[in-house]
Amino acid sequence: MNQPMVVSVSQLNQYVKSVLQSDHLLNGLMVRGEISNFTRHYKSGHLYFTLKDDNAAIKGVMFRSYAAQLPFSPENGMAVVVSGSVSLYERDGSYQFYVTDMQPDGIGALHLAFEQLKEKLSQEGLFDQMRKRPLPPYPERIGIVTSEGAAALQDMLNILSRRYPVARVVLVPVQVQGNGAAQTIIEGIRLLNRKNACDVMIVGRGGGSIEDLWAFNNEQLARTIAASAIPVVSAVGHETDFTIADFAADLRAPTPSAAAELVAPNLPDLQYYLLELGRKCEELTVGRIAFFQHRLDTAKSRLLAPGHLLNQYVQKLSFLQDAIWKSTCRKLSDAETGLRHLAELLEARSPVKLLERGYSLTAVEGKTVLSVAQVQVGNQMVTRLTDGEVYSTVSGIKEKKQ
Amino acid sequence: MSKSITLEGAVGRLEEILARMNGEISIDESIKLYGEAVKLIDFANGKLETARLKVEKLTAPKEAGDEPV
Repeated sequence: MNQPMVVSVSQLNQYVKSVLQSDHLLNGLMVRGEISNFTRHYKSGHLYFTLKDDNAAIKGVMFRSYAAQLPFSPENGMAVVVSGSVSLYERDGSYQFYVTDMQPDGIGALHLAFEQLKEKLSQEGLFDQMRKRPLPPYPERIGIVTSEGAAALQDMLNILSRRYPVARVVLVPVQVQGNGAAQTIIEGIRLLNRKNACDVMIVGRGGGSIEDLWAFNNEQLARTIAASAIPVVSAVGHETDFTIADFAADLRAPTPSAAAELVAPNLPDLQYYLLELGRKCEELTVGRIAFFQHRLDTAKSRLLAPGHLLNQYVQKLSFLQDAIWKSTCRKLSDAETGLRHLAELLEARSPVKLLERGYSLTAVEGKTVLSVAQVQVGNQMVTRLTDGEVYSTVSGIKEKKQ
Repeated sequence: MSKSITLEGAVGRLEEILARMNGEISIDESIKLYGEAVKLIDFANGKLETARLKVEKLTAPKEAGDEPV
């Protein structure tokens, strides 16, 4: 039996490495596992991590040139399927997996990338409602950043012609899908801002696959939209398509056609509004004139007051006159009644009336006899009764004792 | 009325006039404002009736040509 060969550590590692690399199976395979100990080397940009399952682990590395192609960022705890080959890192004698591609396990890479970017920008506050600017109600110039030949553009122009032909459309033709599309859209938005060429802009495209719409999930585009001094309405794909650009925009329109309707007021609405404004102005003016007319009338009637006052006095006077007249009449009539009463009283006491009641008057020598002292025996007496006189001679006198 | 007035400016001014009219103003001012409002409404309506959508193109590299489509 031969003595075992003595080799250096380098030789050993070189040999093991060549064995691993010559193995057909280990040279192109996919491995499912969970990422841990993840680091991105700050200088080189290479990714280092451990790939593990419940019972085992292997070191992994993904060089920058491959890592740059990943739409999403790997994180600790993320379940992934990696493609690549197994080899040995000679310096440490460590056996590791050299990753050329990585897919999230279960969900699509683009979907994950979308969620990650959305989360990141949301954390930064880029989507905050507070940041959203209101759209101008009556824009003079409407910027449209989209692909020139697309049906989406024609739809928007048709709607604007119908709804709001007052506007001027400033079209910035850009590439909306494929490599570099995001960059042309970014430049379009910046161009409109630099030239202050519009009052509001629509950035978008018609429907397509998630890959077609991918340019609108670009981080830099989202930042450009958020930084735009001119309000941005996003209009990407169909109603169910949400892109990062939508979240960064001041307003998300479900479709390009809807965006055209959102940026422009409806002409009949505006005409009605103008009519209403005119009607209200007229109403208020007429009201004001009526108010002043009323004040004028009031003032005029105050000027007429002296005559009015005189009238009042005349009325009062006539009333008083009347009252006095009535009161005088009443007094006169009272006096008349009193007089009549008095006359009756007097009449009742007249001698004639006494005679009627059986009394009589006696006179001697023309004088009414009131006392026996006036009479002497032999005097001729005249007695007056109601229906005549009686003549008699006094035959005796008897004085009544007091 | 100035030629540089925009539709938005006209509507804005009309809203302003309405707000003024709702306050305490003299009869002279009221009539003056009403005259202005009528002119603004005529202007805006005129603009709306005659308008045709204009489209111009703005392209990045040259930065020169705003050529009509």
